[in-house]
This record gives sequence, structure tokens and C-alpha cells, in this order.
Amino acid sequence: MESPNSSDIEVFDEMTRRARLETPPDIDVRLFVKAALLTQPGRQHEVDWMDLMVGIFSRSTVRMAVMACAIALLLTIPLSQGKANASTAEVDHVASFLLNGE
Amino acid sequence: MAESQPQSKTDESVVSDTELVALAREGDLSAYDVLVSRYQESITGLLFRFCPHRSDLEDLVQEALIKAFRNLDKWRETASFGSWLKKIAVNTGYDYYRKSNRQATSLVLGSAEANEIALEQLEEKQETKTRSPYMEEVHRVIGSLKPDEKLVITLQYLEQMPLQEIAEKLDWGLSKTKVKSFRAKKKLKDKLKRYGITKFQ
Repeated sequence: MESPNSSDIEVFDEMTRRARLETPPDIDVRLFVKAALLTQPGRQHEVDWMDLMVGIFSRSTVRMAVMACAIALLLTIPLSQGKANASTAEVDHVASFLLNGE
Repeated sequence: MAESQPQSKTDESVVSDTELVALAREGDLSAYDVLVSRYQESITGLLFRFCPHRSDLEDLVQEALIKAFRNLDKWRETASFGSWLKKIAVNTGYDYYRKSNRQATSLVLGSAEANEIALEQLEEKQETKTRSPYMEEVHRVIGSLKPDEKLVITLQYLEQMPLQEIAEKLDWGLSKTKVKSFRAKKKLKDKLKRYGITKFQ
């Protein structure tokens, strides 16, 4: 079998010899690497209050409980306001009786 | 009164690769930044053998260094960090060859319109090259080889790596590497003959 030794492809040898003399472009990838590593998922960093909130509200049970509380609060406010108005009206009635004698 | 500058814990000239890797494993990106500064030139030099186009080369260097960071836990001190990084860069180059071969295949099999667009992009790329004409020429010649053959030729001829080292870098075994090299050279010889290139200008 014929062997393709280096003398058989001396043209290619010369080509690669000249190619080896060529210098690569000046490349600085530090910023890109840092940016890519900063934004990679699962990267560990200091936990702040926002992470805490996101952590708490990421659970559906917590979200449902908060929603139930909000609805209950919304329903309670008109009722308590109604009671307050009623008691104020009574006070007004007593005051007018005292002032006017009626 | 002049304020004394606090000395960085990752002072480039003092801290060893091992210490920097230990810090980087704990998530210290400034430590990894120092490692990137130390090795990006050699990695660029190696990947330039795989890809002489500046924009693609930049992407490849980034990819290799990001891959290395994500695999820092796998580095063992039995090999130097530089040598381990070089192995990752070689694999990144190999992936690039495989990807470009797939793109070349899809170009042939794609629609006429898609081929036209791809050819225009290729022409644009060719127009912008001026910096490394011989490297471009080599890549044109080895372009039709299979990715693994291209890889062996790149390491053997452009990087001047002995076959034994190539085998170690690729975890291939020496005989497999020799066979790949033999086949690649035979194909190259046929190709050069077919195009009538007997003497390099």
C-alpha cells in the first residue's frame, strides 16, 4: 500500500509552515467571559431581601394563602365601615336631641 | 497623605493557578478573571489553528473558557491547569469542526433560496479576510475532510503536536490516531493531485 508520507504532501507541508508563521488576532474576552458567568443560571451570590421574597412567593400554597387573606380583608372593610356609619348616625341623633331638645 | 491601596487577594504575579482555581471554585469571578488573563493568549493561539476568522475565533475562545469554568471541579492537580485548559480548547475546536460540517451538509441539502443567502454570507466572510491568507488556504484544503480527520491534521501540522500527545489529548489511543492521520493524509494527497497543486506558490 502506498504511504502518504510527508514528502508526498510537501505542498501541504509548505502551506502549513507558512500558516504557522501567521499570528492570531489580539483578542480580549475577559469582559465577555465575566458577563456570561455572572448571568449563568444557578450562580451562587449573596441572598438579599428580594431573593427572600421571591423564594417565599414562589410556593403556590403561600400565594393562595396571601390571596385568601387579601379577599377576606376586602370583605371585612365594607362591613366595618357600615358599622361605623351606623354608630355615627346614632351619635348624631343624640347630639341633635341634646341641642334642640327634639 | 497618600492612602495605601488594599492588596488584591488575586494579585496576578503572586497567586498560583491552584490557589486561583480554588477561589474560582468558591465563585470568586475575579480569581477566574486572572486565570483568563493568563491563558487567553495561548488558547487564542491554539484555536486560531481551527478557525482563522476573528469573530468565530472570539466566540470559540469564550466558549472554551466558559466551559472550563463550569468544569473546574473536574480539574485535578496531576495535570497543569494550562494543559487541562488546552484539552478543553481542543475539544471546543473539534465541536466547531463538527458544527461547520453539519452546516456545509445543510447548505447542500437546503432550498435554493437558503443556499443563496448562505453563499452571500460566505462571500462577505471571504471579503473581510486579509490577515491570515495561508491559514485560510489550509482550511480550504482540509475543508472537505471529516471532522476527526480535520482535527488530527490541525493538531499534527498546524499545532505540531506529536501523535502520542494527540492520542492523549483526545483519549483515542495511539493506533486509532495513527489510522486517522494516515487516512486524512491520503485524502489530502488525492485532493491536491486532483486540483493539480503540485507546488505551493
